[in-house]
Amino acid sequence: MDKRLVMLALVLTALAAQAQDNTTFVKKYLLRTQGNLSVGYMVKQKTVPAYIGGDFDYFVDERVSWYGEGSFFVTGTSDDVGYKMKHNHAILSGVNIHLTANNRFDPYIGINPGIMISQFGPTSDVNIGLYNPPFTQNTKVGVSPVFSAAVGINYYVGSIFNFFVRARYIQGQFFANSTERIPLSEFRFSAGLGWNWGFIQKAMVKRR
Amino acid sequence: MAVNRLISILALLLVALQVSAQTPTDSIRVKLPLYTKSWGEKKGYLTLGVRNTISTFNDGNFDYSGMGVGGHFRAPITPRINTEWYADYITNNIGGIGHRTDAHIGWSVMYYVIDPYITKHTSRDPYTRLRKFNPFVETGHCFDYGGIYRNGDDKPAAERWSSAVQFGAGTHYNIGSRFDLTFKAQYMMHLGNDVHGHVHDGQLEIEEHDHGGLEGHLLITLSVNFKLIRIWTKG
Repeated sequence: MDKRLVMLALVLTALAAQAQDNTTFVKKYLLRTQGNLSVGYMVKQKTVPAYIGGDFDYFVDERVSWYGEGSFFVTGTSDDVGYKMKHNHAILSGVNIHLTANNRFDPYIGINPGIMISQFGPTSDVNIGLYNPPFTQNTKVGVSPVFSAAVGINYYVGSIFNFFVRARYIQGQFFANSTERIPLSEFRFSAGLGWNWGFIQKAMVKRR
Repeated sequence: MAVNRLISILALLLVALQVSAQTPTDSIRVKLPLYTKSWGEKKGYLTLGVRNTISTFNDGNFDYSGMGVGGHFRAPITPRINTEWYADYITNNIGGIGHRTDAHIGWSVMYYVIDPYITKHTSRDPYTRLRKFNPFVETGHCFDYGGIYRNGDDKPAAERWSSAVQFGAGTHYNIGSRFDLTFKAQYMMHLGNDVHGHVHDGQLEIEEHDHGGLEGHLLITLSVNFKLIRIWTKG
């Protein structure tokens, strides 16, 4: 896994150094938002949860944006670990550091700490005795602090839209009243269409 | 294992940042981000940040590492003295059979060991700018809550409210004039009574002591910070 991370960082760095375009979309005061479906891969549980999420980037500098994200757990299976995820929502905030500026092509890395709001429960398979359950009824909903880092690329096709692709790693652990520690380590992937709120940028430039 | 993975990811991020900062392309040199507008001018900003804290070496055991999230703001007093006001929430695993939660709210005074600004008095192009790295030492105090739970229990088996002192060192890595990444390590020693848990013969043993000691925990913090409002200008 570490080798893959190294490769990804190298590729992004190379892209950032080479991709130049005179067309300017990424500028100070730009607000971009997006809503998306994303999929994750829980490293310990080896399961694939799905989320509905939304996030924003507000460029307070040409190369740095303040970032916020919320995601809502939709579904996920985890039969072979004896429990299933009932909730796993996330609230993340931090900064994204953009490797180029004044460009259509916008690779970035982000450091986004946050919290996960999670709950786990026994699977139906546990109830018929196939596995040793870590708990026999739903845990309480617990809030877990998490570290998360992301790499991604936005491509601004015009003044209104951008395409994006992003990979995120989340590291944390769940306790609440679970009888065992449940790792929340997860890779998440999302892609889609984002919106640029250019009028905010214009208003801010005019005000300054 | 989890800590190793975190450290490798952080290392990757920092390498990518460094390479990016050194790339001599026009798009990156759109702005001279660390420069102040006037020569000799130093500015103090109220700064807002979010952070992750790794709590290690709990009661002498590196295996009981925990992860925390929190926030802070900084209010500088002079160009070389800053204050940080923070709150953290940290959870620690105790041998897979228990866990500990800690909440800290406190403050630190940071002293920059070298002047954070560089001023060049050349006749052709005099300037004042922030250094890329601003190393500092710090010390401070906090109020804290600590609770130790047996896994599966709703209520803590032991808890305490106390205060603590901490000291450490770190550095800001300035990205532009308004953002910085800060990496620091602090050792926190709790004052007053002490509770801790450890695994003995497969059982969670919880100890409570009336007196505090030098034992505490090492806190490694990575934060991202935005300079929000200018509160003073000197020079």
